Amino acid sequence: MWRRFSLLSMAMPLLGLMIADAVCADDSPEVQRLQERIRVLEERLDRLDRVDVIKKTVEYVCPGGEIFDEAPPGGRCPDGSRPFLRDTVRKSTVARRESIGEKIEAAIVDADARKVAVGGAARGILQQVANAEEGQNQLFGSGSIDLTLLYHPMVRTTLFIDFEAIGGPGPDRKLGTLSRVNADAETLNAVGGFGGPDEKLTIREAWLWLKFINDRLDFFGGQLDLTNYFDRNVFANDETTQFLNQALVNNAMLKQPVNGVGMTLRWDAGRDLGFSLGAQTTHVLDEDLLSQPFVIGEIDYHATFHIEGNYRLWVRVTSQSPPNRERQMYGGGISIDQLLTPQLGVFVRAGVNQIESISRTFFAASGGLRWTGPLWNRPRDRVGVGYNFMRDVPGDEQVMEAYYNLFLTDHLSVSGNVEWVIHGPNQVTGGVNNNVVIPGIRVVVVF
Amino acid sequence: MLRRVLTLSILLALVSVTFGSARLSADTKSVADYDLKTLAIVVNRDSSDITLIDPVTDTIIKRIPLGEYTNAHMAMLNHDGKKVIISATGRDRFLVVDLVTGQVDHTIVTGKAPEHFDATPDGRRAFVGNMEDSTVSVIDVHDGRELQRLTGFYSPHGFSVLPDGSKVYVSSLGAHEVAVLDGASGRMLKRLAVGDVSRVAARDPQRYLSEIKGIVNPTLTKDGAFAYAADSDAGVVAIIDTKADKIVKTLKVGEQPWRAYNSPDGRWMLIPNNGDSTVSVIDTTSQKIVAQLNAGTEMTGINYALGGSKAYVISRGDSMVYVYDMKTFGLVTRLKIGTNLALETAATTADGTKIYLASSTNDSVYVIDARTDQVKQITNVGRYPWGVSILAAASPNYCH
Repeated sequence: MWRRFSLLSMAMPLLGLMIADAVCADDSPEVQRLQERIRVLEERLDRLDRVDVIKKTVEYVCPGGEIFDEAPPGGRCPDGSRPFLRDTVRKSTVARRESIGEKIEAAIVDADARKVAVGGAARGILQQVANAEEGQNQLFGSGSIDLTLLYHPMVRTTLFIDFEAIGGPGPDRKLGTLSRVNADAETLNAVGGFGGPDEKLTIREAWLWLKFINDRLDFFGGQLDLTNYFDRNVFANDETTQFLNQALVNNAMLKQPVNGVGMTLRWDAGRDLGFSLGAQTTHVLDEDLLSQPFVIGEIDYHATFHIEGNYRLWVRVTSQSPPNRERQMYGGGISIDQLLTPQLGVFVRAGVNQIESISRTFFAASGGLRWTGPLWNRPRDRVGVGYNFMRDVPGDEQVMEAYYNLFLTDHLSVSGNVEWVIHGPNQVTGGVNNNVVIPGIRVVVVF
Repeated sequence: MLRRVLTLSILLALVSVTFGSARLSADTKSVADYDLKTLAIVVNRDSSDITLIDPVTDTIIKRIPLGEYTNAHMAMLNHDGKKVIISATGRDRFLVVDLVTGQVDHTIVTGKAPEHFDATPDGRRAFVGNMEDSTVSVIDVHDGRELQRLTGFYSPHGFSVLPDGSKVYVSSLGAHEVAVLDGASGRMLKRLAVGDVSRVAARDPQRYLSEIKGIVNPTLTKDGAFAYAADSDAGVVAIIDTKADKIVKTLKVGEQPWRAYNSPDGRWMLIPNNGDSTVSVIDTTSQKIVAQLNAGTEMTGINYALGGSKAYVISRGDSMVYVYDMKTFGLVTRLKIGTNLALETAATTADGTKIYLASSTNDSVYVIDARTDQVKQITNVGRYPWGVSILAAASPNYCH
């Protein structure tokens, strides 16, 4: 018994040692495999911090194709020829940690840049006619909605489309003024006349804008509104928030056609000087587009020496409105806007027009001011006063207008204005407009 | 009675042993018993092994494991015909494997994500492109060590060593250039500009600046006198004079050309254009485009067969192979390999009669008989077979 116990006592520890040794000395295949996997994962960890970066760079290329990152010695290739400089792109992998949030943000920005931007505006105008032979005490309403699409199909290229739905021709259907008391509703009038639909759905503008030569040459082509490029004026150019009278929106002698197929080129000559050239058809699309086009050229200068001002000189040639389309009209004019103080600016326009076979020269002159922040607690409100005198084929006319633009939000403004047709012909009735007062209100919503 | 039983038993035992021995001999036919240069070597990315296929019987001889997680990309028998050299992309290693023993002789640390390579004609050195750190490892294959790690590349994707081993041409997928290296020292001799995309990139940065598709491979003509480098973004092929290392001509091919594939007789260079699904045919004598063939989408390779009289264009996107007559450039047939298959690359057997085509999504290799254009399938070659190579192939080997 004692012998057996002794033997067992000796054998048990030995047995235990043998088992422990078997477990510890050689890792099992599974353990080895796991260790190997950990090693592989550790090796791959730094790949998570690597991102591809694409960089633009410049290289010198010799005629035989050899590349130099810097100008070769002596400015010559090994064979003596001259290298040319070119831009190129290269992809590198760099170590950079970008958080998930940064990646998401970059993806959103990238997606936004590719989207079509949709915007627009809605306008409502009410005008009351007072002291007129025709249209006395009548309230005229007009409204419009613009839907705009903006897209960048490639860099330095913009596509713009403006759909407009407009209704309500305004008081000129009764007053027949020379200057046109509702510039916004002019889309509804026939060219140079007053007949036309009471409402209309149209593509107001649709053009492609391309930039060339280091962004110094702009090209616009498509369905254009040439007044966006010529005869502009900082204080008198926007019928939605400034003057409503057409003669205070653009020079009455400009005689621009309704929006049509055309093109504009503008060259930034540097030193704040610019040269523009525009041409637009005066026909509808089913006629010869090249026949009797409206052609205009302009030089503009932006002065910044003490306080800002813009000075523009334009000349144009076009054909007279139907039924005298065969007669050419030659004209020129100036448009000046000048800040006197940071809040007060003045503007002047003048233009002449010469019609073939007519010896008389017709002209127009307008001027006025704009005051920003007239009330101390309303810095974004604006007040404008303007006057226009014009002599045209039907006769002479003088008008004045004053407006107050009440800024409510970036997307909503209300303007009250009053126009005073001092004296002028009524082209509808053949009579005269004397001291016709037209108070009005405009609401503009931009989205 | 007992004597008869004993005799019968002994006879039966003898017969069993004889058959058993014969069977055993057949089962243990060694790799060494094959002509290694004619074996098809299939590299399996996801099972991290290579598979050897007998081109006579179209059967799998052996699978050689490479070690876990190697995710090998390219494998080829070295020019000395003894060892297989493999880029183990998943482990940032370069492997030298003895085909006969199945052992990994050398495991050489390289740069990040080695993919493509080429070896000198004596099999001594290999130039390996490390895609993720844009370096090139110069490997001593015999000694199993990295001699140099060269910089100055942009995702070095394609390698071509001149037949005399004097120079190595390296194409950058992340730029529009081909580098010329000295074959002995590894020193960069020149960089050659291929395509110019600066103007079109300025107009359309979304396409050209978010990803660069440069040059996949500089393909040498049969005599090594010229290298054809296709620039995918630029849509051109530059012809490089390898003596003067100058670009002597630039040809406008189709959209997004992949790379050039030279015919066995050296007469033609075929370039699949993945942007417009065409193949441009260049006469290497006149260095002009002589034909434009309609082909498939996402073309990954071209193999020639029957002495170069037929060309097989692999369309990964269509799961088809387009077969052309190289005399008339007419379409002979379209082989529908399967549906929703990802056809990868292929190799032509030494006698030019068959093509082994890897299909990664169904773990198969398809055997195309060029004489009959019949197709048969070898299944379970390994997980995600990526490419096939045969050292003595009748059509130049390639990878993608």
